[in-house]
Amino acid sequence: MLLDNELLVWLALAVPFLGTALVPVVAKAGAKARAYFAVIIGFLTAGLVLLILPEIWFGRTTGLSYSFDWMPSVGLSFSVYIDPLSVLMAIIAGGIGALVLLYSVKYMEKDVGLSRYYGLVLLFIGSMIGLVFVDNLLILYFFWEAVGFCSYALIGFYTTDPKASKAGIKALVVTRVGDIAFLIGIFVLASGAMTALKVNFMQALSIQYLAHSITLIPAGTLAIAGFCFILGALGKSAQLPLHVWLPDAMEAPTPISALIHAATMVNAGVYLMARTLPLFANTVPGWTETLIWVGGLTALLAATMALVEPDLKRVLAYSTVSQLGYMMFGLGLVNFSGFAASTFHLLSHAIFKALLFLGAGAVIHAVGTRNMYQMGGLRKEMRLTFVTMMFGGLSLAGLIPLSGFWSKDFILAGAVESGNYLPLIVIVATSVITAAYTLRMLNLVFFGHSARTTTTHEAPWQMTVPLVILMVGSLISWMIIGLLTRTYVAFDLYERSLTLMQFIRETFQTWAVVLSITAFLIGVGLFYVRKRYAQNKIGSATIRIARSGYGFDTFYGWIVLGSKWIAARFRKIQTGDLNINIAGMALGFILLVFFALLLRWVI
Amino acid sequence: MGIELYLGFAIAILFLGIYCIMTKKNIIKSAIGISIMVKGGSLSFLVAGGTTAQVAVVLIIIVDAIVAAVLLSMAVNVYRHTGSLDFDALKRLWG
Repeated sequence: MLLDNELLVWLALAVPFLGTALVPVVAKAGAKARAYFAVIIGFLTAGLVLLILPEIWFGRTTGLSYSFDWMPSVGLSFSVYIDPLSVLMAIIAGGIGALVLLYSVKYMEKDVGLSRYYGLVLLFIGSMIGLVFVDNLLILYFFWEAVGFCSYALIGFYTTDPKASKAGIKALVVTRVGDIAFLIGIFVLASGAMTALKVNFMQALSIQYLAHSITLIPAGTLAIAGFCFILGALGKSAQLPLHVWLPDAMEAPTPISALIHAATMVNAGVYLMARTLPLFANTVPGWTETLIWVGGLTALLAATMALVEPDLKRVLAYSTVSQLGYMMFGLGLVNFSGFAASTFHLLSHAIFKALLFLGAGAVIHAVGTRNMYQMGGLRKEMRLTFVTMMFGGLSLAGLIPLSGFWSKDFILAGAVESGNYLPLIVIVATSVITAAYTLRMLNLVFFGHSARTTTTHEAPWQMTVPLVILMVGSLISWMIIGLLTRTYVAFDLYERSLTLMQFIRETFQTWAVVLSITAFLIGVGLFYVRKRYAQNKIGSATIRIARSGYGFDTFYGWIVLGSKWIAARFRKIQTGDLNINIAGMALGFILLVFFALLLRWVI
Repeated sequence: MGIELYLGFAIAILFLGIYCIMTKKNIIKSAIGISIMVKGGSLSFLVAGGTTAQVAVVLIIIVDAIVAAVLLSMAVNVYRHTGSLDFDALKRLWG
């Protein structure tokens, strides 16, 4: 080993944060120095995480676990626990983060406030790596909040654009609903563990400790905590009914969209579910079914919304929501290879979605609009972007032999094996629509005739190099399945170790593969008959409803209006008069003492 | 009877301070009210007794001095801005 493992882990955690702190200092040396400094820090972080990989993935059976006394007086120690899942997530966050930073160098060149931009991106990557490394739920929650904050600040990066600011606030408020549920869940779980296992508060928050002794905790406590955790993940991963923030988050600069959708923010929810599977999957009745149904319905509804969206980035946003639904669905099938399939899909999705977003960024950068109906015919003008985005899109659609096909099929195979046919139908229908909307998107952007008067040119190398790297990734990333399952088996996360050949053979032996290929072909067919369908009555009504997002935004609008109305009624007691405020304080103080005395007297 | 008497006295001083802030509109008078309130608090610490309490009281006195200095400097600035020492002059901050 080149470096001591413990040092490596702490460095991987510390470097992005140090980078954040140093960005404004380096900015004194010029804008270019600042941009490349951030890129170097990004690649350094990715490299450090990559160095941890061999240690975990070859030959170990338990995770690396280190601890550092943070606040000894309350027993809070910063403990990390690193297993294959953590490393996988950290590599996705670090690797895609680094590529996004490189891409940003040219894409963001002409914007102002870039110290804020690069600082926040590094903070974002660092928080995500922290989130997947830590073992203590409370510290995980700190990073969870940090990730939420960074996404808020970066979505609203263009502070002069009121739409962007509003989108940022929306993202913060909507995910907050889930965050509060998650926090409640943490405390319920910890208090249950404290009484049942007779341990102190900090011990009761350790995920690994809880996983070993979960059966001793009362079922009721576990159920409350489990469903609170699901709510938290729904907010973070933009699942129904808390998905509304993600499409609006498209006001962010495009590299940020790629980062949020592929590497950091939304994966946190899936990670939380994957991490807490051993806690709840077999102890809380209905927990996995909830994941299956929420994931399946989200996947289907989001796919239909992507089908009718005219905005290129919003199509991709809905497609992310839909694919995250797939992952949740997969995690729900935990007893049927769900864990391996879902995390495998997370990897493929991260790669092809980052590719699609960065490609879309190159297109938008060149054309200057996000409306797909104003693009068209770009395949000749932006040849490299066209080729790479085709790979990303077809991977998303599930074409053999791109990575998206293998991972989606793995999830489908689990669903077939489970024998639960209603959700299976939902997820196959989603596959059909996925293929259709992907083709529609690629067709509108690259084929047909250009309605534009000006011609465009290919993007500079800083933008195309990440595209090519990600394209290669979407071609070959599925080949690690053998390694992935072998490591999972070593860590007792999954029961069957598959070699690559075995995986291919098994894929073609179940009839899930027939389903996924048929779904792809029907999707292509759907794409060809789209015009005829859109013109009849049912078709146009469906399109109208799907374009309005199934009324979720309207519903939340009413809630906001209601709370504003209540707040306006309370406005009157906020006089701003110091004397009255102090009188209120004194009154409260007296009441507090009075109640304390009363309580004492009664008991 | 001893300790209750002292505590009662401390609470009386505390409420004297609160009453002062509650009724007076003048910034300087309010600052004096806050100081009186803090004196009531530190007196109750002394009544509780022990060396820790004495350490706490020394700290409170220091903090109180700083608070008073900040308040009075704010008062000076308010006077420069509005030409009056009345809190109502600041009411246009009420949004």
